[in-house]
Amino acid sequence: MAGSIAERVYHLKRSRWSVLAGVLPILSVYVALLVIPMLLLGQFSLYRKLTGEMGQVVLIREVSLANYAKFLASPFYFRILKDTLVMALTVTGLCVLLGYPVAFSLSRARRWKGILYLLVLAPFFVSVVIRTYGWMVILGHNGLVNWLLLASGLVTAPVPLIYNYTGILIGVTHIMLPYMVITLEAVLRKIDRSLIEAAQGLGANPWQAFSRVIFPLSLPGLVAGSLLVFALSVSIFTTPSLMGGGRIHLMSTIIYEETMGQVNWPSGAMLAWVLLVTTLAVLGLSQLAARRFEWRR
Amino acid sequence: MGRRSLIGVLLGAFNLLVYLFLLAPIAVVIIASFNSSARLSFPLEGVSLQWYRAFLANRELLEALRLSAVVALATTALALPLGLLAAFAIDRYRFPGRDALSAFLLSPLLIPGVVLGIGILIFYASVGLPISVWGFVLAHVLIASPYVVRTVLASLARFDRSLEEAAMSLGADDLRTKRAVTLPAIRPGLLAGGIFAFMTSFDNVPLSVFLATPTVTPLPVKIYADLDSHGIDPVFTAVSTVLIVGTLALVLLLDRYVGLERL
Repeated sequence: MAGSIAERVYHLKRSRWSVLAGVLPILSVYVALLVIPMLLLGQFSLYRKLTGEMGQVVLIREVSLANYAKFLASPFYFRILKDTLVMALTVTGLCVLLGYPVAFSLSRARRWKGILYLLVLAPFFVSVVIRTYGWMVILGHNGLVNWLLLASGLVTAPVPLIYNYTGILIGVTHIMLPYMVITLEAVLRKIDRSLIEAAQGLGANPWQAFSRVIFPLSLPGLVAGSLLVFALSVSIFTTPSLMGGGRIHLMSTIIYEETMGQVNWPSGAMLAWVLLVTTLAVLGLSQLAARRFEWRR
Repeated sequence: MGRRSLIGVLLGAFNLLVYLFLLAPIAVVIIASFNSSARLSFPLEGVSLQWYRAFLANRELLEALRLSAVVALATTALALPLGLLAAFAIDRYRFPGRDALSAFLLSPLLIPGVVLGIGILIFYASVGLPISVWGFVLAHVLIASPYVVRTVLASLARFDRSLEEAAMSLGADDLRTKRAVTLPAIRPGLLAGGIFAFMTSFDNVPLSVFLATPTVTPLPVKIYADLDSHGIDPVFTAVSTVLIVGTLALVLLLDRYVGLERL
């Protein structure tokens, strides 16, 4: 017993060193590439850019809230923020409409389940830029859909389906749908089948069994999937950038445009902070909603 | 009964349409890659391998592919040990701030790619780091590590620690136990984390687009930039098909050894 205290101290010290040794390498990467860049972003968002007489870019390293004042005063930026949120909300609604029936069938499937699951996941594993390219090929001026529409005589001239809001909605919904289906299916799968049999045994028709038993029990999945899709849609870049063709701007694309196109880093940094805060607010709210939901149950 | 089967038929038809929607852009790209006409317009004409030949003759695309592969491999090689060590520390030790730490380690998943992109661009410019392969690798390690931490943590949570005790009581020392018992048991998590890390790096546009220069451009950024400035170029059907086949092979590997449903 004499050695027990010394032994415990030894173990405590050893475990402290083990934790440090395990965590320090990754933390140093995170500090260098996450913490410092985010702080620099905040700092740059308080600077200003001037274009010199020869067209060269001059950075005014003077702290001011001018960029943020510009954002608040500008209907242009405000509309972009609004468009971004409306787009994310619409995509979330579309994912619920398309995803729920598929998740429901998938959760009930017996044969083919593995293959169906793989088919839902397959797009997930194909690069976003390639999937968006696929939609450009399908929806473009000379694309598959316009050929079918023209050939069937439904339209006389190609319908614009890309480089507009419709294109963005189709492309982003396609990227987000697997997230929704998988989140929903995970909840639907766990619903006890005997509950449905009990409901039908008590005289409920299939619709009643669904609307009064299955649907309420699937709400946590619906909430979780919707929040995930909404949060991801708010910040998605590649698809809206290509499908919008520079004609429709969202938060992510305007950040890229201001930073790389206009070489206005302070303005880009300010917009990045706005997007970051928006995203974190959505995630915070969703956390709150999820907790409230748990509590009500 | 009749009503029920009608619902079933409608549900089946709806499912079919959604699966079609999910797979259409992938299928169309693959089919169009064998198209023989000079422009990519429908209806497709004959069958040819001209776009594959065009891809193989395109030095810029091949160079972009090589860069992407090198960056993704280096990212995976760094993210795996970093994530493994951190996951071990979080799983095995109780220390203040443990929950906050694991939340922090997963946080790059929540931050918009463009926000990280401009932040890291400003950081590299401030410290005077020229754009290079390493610039991409470091930035990608940040967005790839969370996947490794998550999959390894999940594997460790399922791992039965009495197996370690058994090995120790049979005389194996700590290192030998970890190597012979623990590591093989969490191999599915490591494999999944590694594949996710590789794909995260290999596919990334929103972050990489800020770090790319005309001479140092990963493949997805190259495709993005060309589509953005020149519109639909048929050569990308061949590039895409090669990448899709490669990725699907990885997915099948993942499904065979790990099981997609467990992720």
